[in-house]
Amino acid sequence: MWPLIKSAIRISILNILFISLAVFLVPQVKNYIKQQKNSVTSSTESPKLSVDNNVNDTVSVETETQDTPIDAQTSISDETDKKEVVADEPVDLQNTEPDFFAELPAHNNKSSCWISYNGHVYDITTYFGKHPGGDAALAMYCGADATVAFNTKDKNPPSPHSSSAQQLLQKYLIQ
Amino acid sequence: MRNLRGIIIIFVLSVVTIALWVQSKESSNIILANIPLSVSQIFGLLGIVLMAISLILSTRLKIVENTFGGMDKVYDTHIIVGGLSTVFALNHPLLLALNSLPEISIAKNYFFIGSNSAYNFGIVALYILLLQLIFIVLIKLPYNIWKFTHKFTGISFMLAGVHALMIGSDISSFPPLKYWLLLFIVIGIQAWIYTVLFYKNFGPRYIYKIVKTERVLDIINIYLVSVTKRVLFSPGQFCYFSFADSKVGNESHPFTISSSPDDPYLRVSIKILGDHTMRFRDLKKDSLVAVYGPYGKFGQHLIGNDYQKIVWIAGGIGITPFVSMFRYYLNRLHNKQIYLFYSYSNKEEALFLDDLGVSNNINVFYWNTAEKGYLDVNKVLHFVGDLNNALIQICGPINMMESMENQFIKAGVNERDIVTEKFSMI
Repeated sequence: MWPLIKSAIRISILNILFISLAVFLVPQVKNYIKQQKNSVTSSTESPKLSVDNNVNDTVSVETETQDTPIDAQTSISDETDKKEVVADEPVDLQNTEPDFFAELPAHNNKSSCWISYNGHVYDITTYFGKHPGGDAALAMYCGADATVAFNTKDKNPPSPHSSSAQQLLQKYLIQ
Repeated sequence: MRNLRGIIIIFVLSVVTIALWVQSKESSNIILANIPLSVSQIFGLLGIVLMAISLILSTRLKIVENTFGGMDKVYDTHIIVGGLSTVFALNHPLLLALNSLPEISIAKNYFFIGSNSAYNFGIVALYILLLQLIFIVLIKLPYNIWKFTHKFTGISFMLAGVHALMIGSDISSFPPLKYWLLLFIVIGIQAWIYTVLFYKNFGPRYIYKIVKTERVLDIINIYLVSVTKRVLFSPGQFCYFSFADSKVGNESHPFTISSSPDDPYLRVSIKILGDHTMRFRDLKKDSLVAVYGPYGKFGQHLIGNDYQKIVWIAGGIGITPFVSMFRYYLNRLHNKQIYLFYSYSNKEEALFLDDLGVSNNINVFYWNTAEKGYLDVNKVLHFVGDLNNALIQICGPINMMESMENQFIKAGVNERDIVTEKFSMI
């Protein structure tokens, strides 16, 4: 039986190495490709700028985490942009855009869980099973406002969520 | 003779753990809704429970040996249970990571140190485990260095325990599961601390000193006398010996005692297998030896049972427990017929011929396989007659033991009446 277990251990080690490497490299490669695209467009405009972009490239590869906030912020601003566009046409707002705040209390369970946070609505249903603090902590706030809970983790003294958790939350934004 | 008691206990403990985990869920829908997550949680729990059991098995406690029917079986189980727990532990974050894909920023949390301290404990435990595994399954290290690296399992286990209790999931929200796991973590840590720190000085230790070493053909005989108390062993048992000698090193080695409990001295017979074993020849007279034991159940099966015939089958250096038993039972057990088949591959390997002298109740058959071919059950039957009411005891190379055991079972001997002992162990 030991040879069988031994090969299972070997396969597991290889899988861990493979996945952790992939998880580590994929965002970097994505960033690199993005930077390349930017530098291509900017280099056509002015050759001087492309030098600066290359400097940015090396910096961004080393400190990959610093890049993601920008991504998150852009996605947020994208969302707000869209809203502003919609807000320009008040007639359409009433007809097409549903009011997620009104719907919020209905999504009060694990199979469909919405929360509100800082005046926005988030659908965190697919986040169940991934929360470091456990599903129970999430389920308590389904269909409710979780601003205080998110900012304090319901602890005394308050223990705020990390900035990476903040970014993660933005991916579940629906309004 | 297979002793399933220990295996059954481990199996039941694992099932109870899974049952408690199921209880911690509100409904079966939650378990089925996210199967990778559920399997990963079970893996995490089983990883800790089995690792705790594996640590308990390495304490060499008498109660553990009695449960498993011999220290060789304990270590066999230790390797399997420890290996299984490792497979579970490694796949626990692996499944979580796969479950979180394509969200790479979540998958990253399972393998790299981050802001969540409960995760970080688990991740450091994983790193330590991985480092050690390199030396167990990938690179072969010298025994003493490997043994040193193996001790770090306990640190990995402790961190994994903290991780399990801190994580804000089912474990902390369901008290029965929490306390069940806490029990294993506490006992596992205690077992590890005892094995690593206390066994050396507070285990079953006896101080002996060397009175004579001699080389006979391929083996080195070391004669020891006790300085304080004598170790009370029964024939066929072994002890762990730790020599106070810079050349040999002070890590302990298991050796079967080849003298009789009646003898005034304790003798171990070490087969020269390589450079390391060669060094035992240079052990100095009067140098001290720490003897830990005794261990082993091999010789104890023939006592108190109604066996009429006892068949001993020895292969090569596997003769050592039988030498002890021969010397002890030479003038005892007159109501039983004992047949010793001593198989060796060439004349130079035939050892202990002086010890295996003439006896009324023990018949010795020397079996030089170079002349007579491999010993098999038919040849044994030829000399023994029938095997009704017989006990078969086999000690030798693993392949030989397995082959002989299968042959005896085919010849109609009950598995219960066959006893084997491996002598290559930790």
